[in-house]
Amino acid sequence: MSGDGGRHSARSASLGSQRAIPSGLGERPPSSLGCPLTFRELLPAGDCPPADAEEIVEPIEVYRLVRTDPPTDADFRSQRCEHPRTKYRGVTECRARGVSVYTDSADAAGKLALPQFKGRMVCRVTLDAGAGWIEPFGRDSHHTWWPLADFAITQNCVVE
Amino acid sequence: MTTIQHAVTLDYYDGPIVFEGRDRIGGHYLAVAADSRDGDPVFAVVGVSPERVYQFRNGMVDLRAVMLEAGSEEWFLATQNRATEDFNLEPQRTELAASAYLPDSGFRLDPAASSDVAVLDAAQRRDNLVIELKAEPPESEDGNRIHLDSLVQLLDLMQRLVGHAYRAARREAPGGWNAPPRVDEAVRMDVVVPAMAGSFCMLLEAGSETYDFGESELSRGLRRLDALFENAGSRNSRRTVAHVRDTGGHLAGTYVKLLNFLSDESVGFHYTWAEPSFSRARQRSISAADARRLSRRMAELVEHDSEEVTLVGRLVKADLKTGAWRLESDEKAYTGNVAGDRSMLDGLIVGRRYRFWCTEDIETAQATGREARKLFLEDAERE
Repeated sequence: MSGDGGRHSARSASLGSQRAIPSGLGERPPSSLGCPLTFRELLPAGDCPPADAEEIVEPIEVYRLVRTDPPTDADFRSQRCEHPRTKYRGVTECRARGVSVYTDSADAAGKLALPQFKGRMVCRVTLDAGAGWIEPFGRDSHHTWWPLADFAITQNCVVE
Repeated sequence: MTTIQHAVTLDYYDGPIVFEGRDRIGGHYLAVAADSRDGDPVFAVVGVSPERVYQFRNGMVDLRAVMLEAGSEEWFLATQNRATEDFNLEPQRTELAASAYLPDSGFRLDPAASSDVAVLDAAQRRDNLVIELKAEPPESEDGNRIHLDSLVQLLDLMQRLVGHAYRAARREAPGGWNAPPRVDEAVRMDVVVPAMAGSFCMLLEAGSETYDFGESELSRGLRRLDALFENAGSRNSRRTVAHVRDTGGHLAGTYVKLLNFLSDESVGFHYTWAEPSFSRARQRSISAADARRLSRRMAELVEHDSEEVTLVGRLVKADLKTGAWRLESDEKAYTGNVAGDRSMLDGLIVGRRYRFWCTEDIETAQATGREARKLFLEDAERE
């Protein structure tokens, strides 16, 4: 079962491997990469990343708001890292441990109008096999990304 | 201290960044992520009218304008109460316009995405499949209004379409037809919010919880319906016509009836649906203009033909007022009308056997593959 309305074509073209079954905190059984995987953050046991999330197996570009140029690891902290005690209705623990990105740079730039993001910059991140799992969520081209621990995020990130 | 509850997330980035809140007496608020304090997010909050929330959600007004207007009287900073997960509102003395918490101009929500988010939220809240139907008849320009007969027709067509779509989906599935015993009940929809803000908008949900391998039965029907509406808004109607032709049967016929209704009544139509587990709602829509174009295209694809037929049987009805007749043979019953003067039926006696010479007009709708046949009596003779 999936709610796949409005998926970005670039992502659709680049995703589509078989999905592995999650086994517990921060780990998955072998994926297309052929070895047990560790996520950047400890993920809750059960369905995380969710069933609708897809493994990234081909290059795609996504956009994230960062505080500095060059960006640092701190720019890629999840909601749970930034606000450990905050819980929102409708936001699962799995989602809270993912990282927000956009597949359309204009959608990312549009958020700079909000007070929380004033002074931030839009960074283009090139994701490739080994980057983790991704799923569209919310409005516009927003996606939640669950990065793998071994993926070098800042090396693949360019401030626009 | 006033508190609000998070009601609907309107925009999300590492958590809700714009959300709609409600206080204990139902007052509406807009909250915007503004800052962080001691590891907790801080939101700038203003009280707003439901109409203003609706306008913002539908991209009709900019967030800065809404906040400046509402915040000129009163505005708050809000932090979450960790015990209740409500948000405590702290009134602010400085002017919002002079603070660092006002958004820049130009932040508007995409109206199409607004339905998406609200429907997904409703599905999660109600823990059920929900469908938002939006109709835009001409009378809705003056407010939340729709003619009663239009509403009845639209809801009837939607329920029938989903039922036929569900049957088609089950037939087309690998392994063929394997439907539950009570098909109509499996795809029955209930109206749960009869008139929400917006053109004419209502919320429906699955009337029964029937699941098969994790997918609700209603969901199967809606997915099949989505396929029919896939290219309905495209300028090139060829794909839709081809899809309707391939579909055929009751589903195609009811779909064409819906197009004709939307065209005749100048109604734009949108639906958005989601199950609680979806990450995004699914949407389909067709404008009144597109419905008119498609309806015309379907009507053009009707072939007319006629042939002479002779029927023999017992006359069971001959209505001199309307010209209608009914003849029954051992195998079949035939109904028709007279080709010309209704007095042709005068003198025929019900219960006796006759030979009827008729013209049969045949209309074949290429789009749906449906054939309509009408018999016109040319001459009659007692057998």
